Amino acid sequence: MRDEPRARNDTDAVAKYLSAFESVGKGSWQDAPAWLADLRQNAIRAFAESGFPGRKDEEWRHTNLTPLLQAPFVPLVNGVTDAVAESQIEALAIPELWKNRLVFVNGSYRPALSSIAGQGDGITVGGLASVAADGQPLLEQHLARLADPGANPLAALNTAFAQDGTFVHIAEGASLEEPIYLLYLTSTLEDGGATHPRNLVVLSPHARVSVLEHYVSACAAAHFTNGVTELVVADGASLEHVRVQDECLLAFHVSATHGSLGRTANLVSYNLSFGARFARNDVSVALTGENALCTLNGVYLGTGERRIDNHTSIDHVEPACESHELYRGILGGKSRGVFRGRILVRPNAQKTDAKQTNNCLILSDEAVIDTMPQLEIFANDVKCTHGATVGELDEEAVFYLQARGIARPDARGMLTHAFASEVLSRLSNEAARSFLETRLKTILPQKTGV
Amino acid sequence: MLEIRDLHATVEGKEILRGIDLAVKVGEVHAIMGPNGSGKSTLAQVLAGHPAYVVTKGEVLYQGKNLLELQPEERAQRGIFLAFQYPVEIPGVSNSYFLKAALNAVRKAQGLEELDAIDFLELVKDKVKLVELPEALLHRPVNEGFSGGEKKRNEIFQLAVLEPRLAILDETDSGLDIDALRIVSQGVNRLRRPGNSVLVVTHYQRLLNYIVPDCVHVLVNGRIVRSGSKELALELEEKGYDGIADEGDETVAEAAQGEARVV
Ligand SMILES: Nc1ncnc2c1ncn2[C@@H]1O[C@H](COP(=O)(O)OP(=O)(O)OP(=O)(O)O)[C@@H](O)[C@H]1O
Ligand SMILES: [Mg+2]
Repeated sequence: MRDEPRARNDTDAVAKYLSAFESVGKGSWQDAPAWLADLRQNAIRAFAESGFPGRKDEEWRHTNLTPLLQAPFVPLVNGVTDAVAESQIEALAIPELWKNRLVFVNGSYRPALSSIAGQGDGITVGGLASVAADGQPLLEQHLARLADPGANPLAALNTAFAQDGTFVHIAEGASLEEPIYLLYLTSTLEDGGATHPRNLVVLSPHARVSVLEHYVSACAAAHFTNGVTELVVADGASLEHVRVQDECLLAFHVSATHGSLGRTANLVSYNLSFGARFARNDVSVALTGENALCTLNGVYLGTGERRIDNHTSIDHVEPACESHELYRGILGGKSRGVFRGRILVRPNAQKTDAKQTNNCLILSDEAVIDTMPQLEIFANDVKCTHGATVGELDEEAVFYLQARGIARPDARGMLTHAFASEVLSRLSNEAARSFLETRLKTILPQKTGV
Repeated sequence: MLEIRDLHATVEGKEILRGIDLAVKVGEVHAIMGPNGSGKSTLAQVLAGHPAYVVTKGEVLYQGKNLLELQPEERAQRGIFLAFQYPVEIPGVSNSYFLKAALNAVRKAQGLEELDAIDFLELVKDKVKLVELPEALLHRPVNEGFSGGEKKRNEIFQLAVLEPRLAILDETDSGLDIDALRIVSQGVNRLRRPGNSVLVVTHYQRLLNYIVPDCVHVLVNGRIVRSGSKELALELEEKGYDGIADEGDETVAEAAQGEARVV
C-alpha cells in the first residue's frame, strides 16, 4: 500500500477541525467525568494523526470526500442559531411517535421539548451529556467501544465534537411497546454548521425495544451531520433500530452505526437514506453469540447530482448465526451510489447463514451505482449468498398497469414507489411505516420518465 | 365494434401474424382456437398494445377508429380489456390499490367522477362475490404468489370492476378447476351487456358451453384458416387441427404444414 502524501485540502480541513476543537469543542461537556474528557482528547489526537480518510484507505476509497472538505464545518453551538418554533419541529416529526420522544436541535438536547412515557421499570432514556454527568456506569463501559475512534476518522471527529445524543438502557427482561423516537433537527441560516450526534443503546439480556432516529433539517443550508450510534444487544434481547435520514438537499450526512449481538439476540436495522446531497452510511454488526439473528434493511434515494454511499459489514464471530440483508436504491438524474456489503465469517462461525441482496433501480441514463459484495469466508460449513440487481423497471409490469388504463408515467411512478415500499412494509410500527410511505411518495416522482 | 383487416405482426423480427381478418360486431361473442404457438396471444397482445409486437401491415378499427395509434392505456380507457394468459406479478402494489387507480384512471378518461375509498369498497364487495375471489387476495400484492387459478380469477375480477366494452379473454379457462371454470364463466356471462363484445381465446370446447360464441375462428400459423358457428368447436374437439386440415381445405393444409415446419 502506497503512503500517499496527504492532499492539501485535507491538511487545511484537518487544521480547521483541530482549531475548532480548541475553540468550541473542548468547551462543551463541562460536567463530564474525567474518563470522558480523556476519551475526547484521545479521539481528537487520533484524528490529528490520521486526517480524513483518503484514497489509500480501503474503507473509504470509493467515497469521494472532497466536497465535504472544501468548506469547513464548525460545530453549531448551543443557543446561537437554534431558534426554532415548537410548531415547526412538530411539523417535521412523526406525529404518532410524538408521545415518546427526545428532541435535539442543532446537536443539543432539548429537555423541554422531550418526553418519555414509561421511564423507570427498567427503562432509562435520556440525553447523553446529562446521563454522563450523573455517572451512569454503562456509559463508561460501552461508549466508543464498538465505534473505535482509531479505526474511523469520522467517528473520531464525532467522539471529539459530540455535544449530546441519546442514551437508552433497557434492563434485563424489560421492554417498551412504543418506539423511542429521536428527532435530530438542524436549523441554521448559514452554511457551514456541523452537528455530531452520539447515541448509545444498551439492551440487557432479554430486553426488547424499538428506537427510531429521525434526522431532518428545518432549513436549506449546507450543514453537516456526522452521527455515530452504538447498539449493544445482549443475549436474548431484541432491538429494532430505524435510522431515517431526511435532511435538506444541501446537507452532508455521515453516519456510523455499530451493533454487537449476544446469544440469540435479534437486531433488525433500517437504514433509510432519503435526503442530503452527500450521504455516507456505515452499518457494522458483530454477531458475537451463537444463534444471533441480524436483519439489515436499507433504502436509498438519489436525484440530481446527489451521492449516496452505503457500507455494511456483518461479522459472523460465533456459530449458527443468521444475517439477512436487503438494500434497495432508486437512483435518478445524475446521482451516484455505492453499495459495499462485507460479510466476514470467522473460522469458528460454522453453520452461518448469511444472505445479502442489493437491488438498485436506475431511472436515468446518467445515474450510476457501484455494487461491491465482499465475502470473506473462513469456515467451511456455511450458507452464504449474495445477489445484486441493477436495472430498470419491469416493462411487463408497466404494460400490465397500462393495459388497465393507468397512464405510463403513473404506472412507472407506482412501480418505483412499490420497489422501495417493499422494504418499508417490514417496519413493525404501523404509524412510522405509513409516515415514511407518505414521505416516499413526496420524494419520489409520482410520474417517471418515458 | 372491432374490425381487423389483413393484420400482420412481428415479434423480434419474426412474423407471427400473417394476415388476419376478423370482424366482431356489437354484442357478439367470438372464439379463437388454434394450436400452441399459432399466434392467438400475439393477436390479443397486439390489440392491447404491447410494445414488443410490431404491426407491419393491415389495420384495426375499434368503434370505427384506428386502434393501433392509441397507447395501451388509451385503449383500456376506451373499453378494451385483456385478461392475460400469464398475468404479471407486481410486488409492492396491493391488488386493491392498483385496481382503484385503474378504475379511476378509466373513469376520469370517460369523464366520470373518480370514486373515493368508500364507494370503491362498496363496488369491490359486490364484484368479489361475483367471481368468488377470496377477499385476502385484495390486500396482497397484485398476483404475487397467487396460484394459477387465483391469477385467472383475479383477471376476471378486474374485468368485473372495469366493465369493458370489448373483453379479450386469453385462455382464462386454463388453470381453473371445474368449479372455478363455472364460476368464472358465469361471472363473464353476467357481465355481458347488449353493447359489449367478447373475444375468447381457448383450447377447450368446454368453456364455450358456458360462454356461447356466435362465431368460432381457427387460427393456424398466423392466419385464420376457418370460421364457423359454435359447432366448429365441437368438430375441432373431435378431429383435432390436423383433421380439419385433412378435409381438403387448401389453406388449412398449407398453414398446418407451415406450422409443422415451424415446430
Ligand atoms: N415476446 C416474444 N418474444 C419472442 N417470441 C415470441 C414472443 N411472443 C410470442 N412469441 C412467439 O410467437 C409465436 C406465437 O406465440 P403466441 O403466444 O401468440 O401463441 P399462442 O397461439 O398464444 O400459443 P398458446 O396456445 O401456447 O398460448 C410463438 O412461436 C412464440 O414463441
Ligand atoms: Mg397463448
